[in-house]
Amino acid sequence: LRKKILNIGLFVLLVFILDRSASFFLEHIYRKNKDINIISHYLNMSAPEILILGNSQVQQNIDPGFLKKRSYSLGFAASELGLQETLLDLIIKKGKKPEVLLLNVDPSFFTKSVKYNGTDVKFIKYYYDKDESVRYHIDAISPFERLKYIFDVYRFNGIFFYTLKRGLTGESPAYFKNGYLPIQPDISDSLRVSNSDRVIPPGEEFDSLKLVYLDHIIEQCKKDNIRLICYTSSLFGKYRLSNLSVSKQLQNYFSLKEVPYINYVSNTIKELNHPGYWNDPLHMNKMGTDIQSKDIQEKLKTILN
Amino acid sequence: MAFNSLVFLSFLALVYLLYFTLPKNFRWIILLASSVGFYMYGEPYYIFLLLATIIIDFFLALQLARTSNPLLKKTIFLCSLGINLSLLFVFKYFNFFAGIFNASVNNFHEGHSIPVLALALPVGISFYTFQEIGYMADVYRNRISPEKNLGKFMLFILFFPQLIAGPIEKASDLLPQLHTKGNASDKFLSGFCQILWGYFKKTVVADNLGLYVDAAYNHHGEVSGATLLIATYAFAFQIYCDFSGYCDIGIGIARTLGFDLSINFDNPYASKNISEFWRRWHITLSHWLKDYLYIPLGGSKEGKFNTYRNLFITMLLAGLWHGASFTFLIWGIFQGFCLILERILGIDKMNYSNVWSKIISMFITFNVLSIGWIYFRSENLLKANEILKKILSGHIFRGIETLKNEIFVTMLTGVIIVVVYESLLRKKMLAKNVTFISNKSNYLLAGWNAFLFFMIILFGVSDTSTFIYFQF
Repeated sequence: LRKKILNIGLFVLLVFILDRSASFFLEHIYRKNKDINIISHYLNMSAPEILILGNSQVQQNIDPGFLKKRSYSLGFAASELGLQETLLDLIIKKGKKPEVLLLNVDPSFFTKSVKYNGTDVKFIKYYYDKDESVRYHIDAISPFERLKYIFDVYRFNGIFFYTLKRGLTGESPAYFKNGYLPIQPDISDSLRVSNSDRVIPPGEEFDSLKLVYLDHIIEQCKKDNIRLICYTSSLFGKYRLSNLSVSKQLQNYFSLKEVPYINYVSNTIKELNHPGYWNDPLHMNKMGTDIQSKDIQEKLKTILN
Repeated sequence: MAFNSLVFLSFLALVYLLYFTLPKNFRWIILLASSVGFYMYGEPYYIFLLLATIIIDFFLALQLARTSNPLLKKTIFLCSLGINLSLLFVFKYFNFFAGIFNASVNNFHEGHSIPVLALALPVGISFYTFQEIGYMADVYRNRISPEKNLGKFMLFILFFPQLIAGPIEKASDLLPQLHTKGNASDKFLSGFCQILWGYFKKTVVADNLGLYVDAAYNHHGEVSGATLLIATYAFAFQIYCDFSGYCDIGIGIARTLGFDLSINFDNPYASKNISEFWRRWHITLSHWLKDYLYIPLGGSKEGKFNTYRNLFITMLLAGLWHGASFTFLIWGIFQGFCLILERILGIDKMNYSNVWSKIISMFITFNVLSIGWIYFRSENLLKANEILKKILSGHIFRGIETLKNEIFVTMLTGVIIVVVYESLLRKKMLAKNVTFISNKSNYLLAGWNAFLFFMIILFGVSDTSTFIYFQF
């Protein structure tokens, strides 16, 4: 029994030491390097006039450079509206709110088969002990979620190598400049995208319960005097067609809420019907992005005037 | 209740608290109650189905032992076998065969079809059905005496560390342990170490590999052949770390409670041929298939042709055991074909005299297995064929998509740690349930455990779903 107690005691002590020393070290890298990630970069620059928020389609399908006004893209691959809501809250609290919020709304999120319990909020779990709203949303994922944060270093779960690399090199990626991560066109784009069988299964129902995230964002923007404009990025081929019905439901919702909505799934840009402008049915290459960005600029001009 | 959920960890803490504070005589009751609770958490209604089969088999086994009439014995055994296999068929295979029947009949008479059943698959049905059949077969063959305590027999089937995905325990191994009071104290530390190793394999290695595999396999039309090849290799390690990780956790938990479960994996990718692989991969299933299917079919004692036939039937059913779909069927046929080919060419009895011949054989075996994994992982045959075609299309060295460098580095690091650690285990010949490090000093053991725990916190994927083998 003595051996067992000694061993477990030693184990607990070592875990504690490893946890605290590693989190101290990683925290030090974070504090030292203001450009360690795109959120940190954003929070340390002056607030843009237009902030574009959303998933990877924001990162790759819109070039803020086309939008005339000072604009910035904050897109996170595989993120959903739960993260956008929390992120907006964090940005406002840190005093970096934009004048206009251009929010990308992905219709596939609103299908019933997509189960969502807000886990993407953990993209920003670094702020768990730094922001009440982040903590609130993470704790809401499950009653047990908060247990993970007993360990300080858990805030760096999944980003250890990234943090280490950035700490050692000290360089920030070029795309931090405005948040746009271009995909260069490739000779195989047309063939690959044409062969894609990605679709939302037919008969998929609209999940109106998920509109609660949009409700919150709309309320937040009203409260903080941010002009909200929503849009759904262009999609390609069969995938676009399978998103059509959900995007129409979204259109109805936004019209009820009196929020301007640019729906590229229903109102396509004809040029983008060619697979050569795409990297996959959701993401465009730079040639496609330029076309959509120009179009958004025109539409924004009309809406904002 | 998945082992990798915080709900389960809370449940386990409660079980430990009750188990170690109650007198030893009552401990099995705690284990039985907690095992029922464990199953009911996910499957509140199917527990009645499970309990019904357990009770039926319990009484039929007692009846088997009482009777000396061979015909009656056979009838009782076949009755039990029929009940167990019928349930397995209804829940797991009915819709599959109904689909085949409907497709065939509709070619001739449109509109004639068997309705499919809207039944969810009871979790662990393939595992506990095989465990019950094994028990009945052993009683029938007079290898063991039937268990006389219904509660302990229930615990033998329901024991939560192995209920959902094995190891498929033999009654002769586990039942006697349930009758002894079990000395948990001398096994606790090595059990704890094995639990952590299992969690490491599952959350750090398998789940990170899974992110890459899913990204490639879910969009196979859009990624390169090279990416699909790497994803297939990644899946080979994902399924190993997922399943053996689950077994390590289960075996470790059982050890901390004072019970030894059977070893289920023995460094399988170090196999030099497919025959050896099946002696090292899912060992308890291989033993079950050998004891209760291959040997009753005649084994290898009735000439070459019959041996090949028996091997083929055994592996075909092994494929179907994993799931009712053509992909698993093809996977099983492929394994059977490889085993027969090895027998014909004498590869299974080959001597590997030098290191290079061993390494080359391991490499070839791993690649042959990887072809099988393509079918195992794909949702349908069409997709599997497309992936295989793309990998073999000659463009495999063009453009490997790494998803995210962070995940790629993590998964590579994880695989290296697993390979190095488990090769070391094998080398030390201490693979049987004990980690080699537990024989060293306290400091080393505590340090190793702390390292594993730290890795799980820092690199573990905590949001993915359940274990792959839960679906079987």
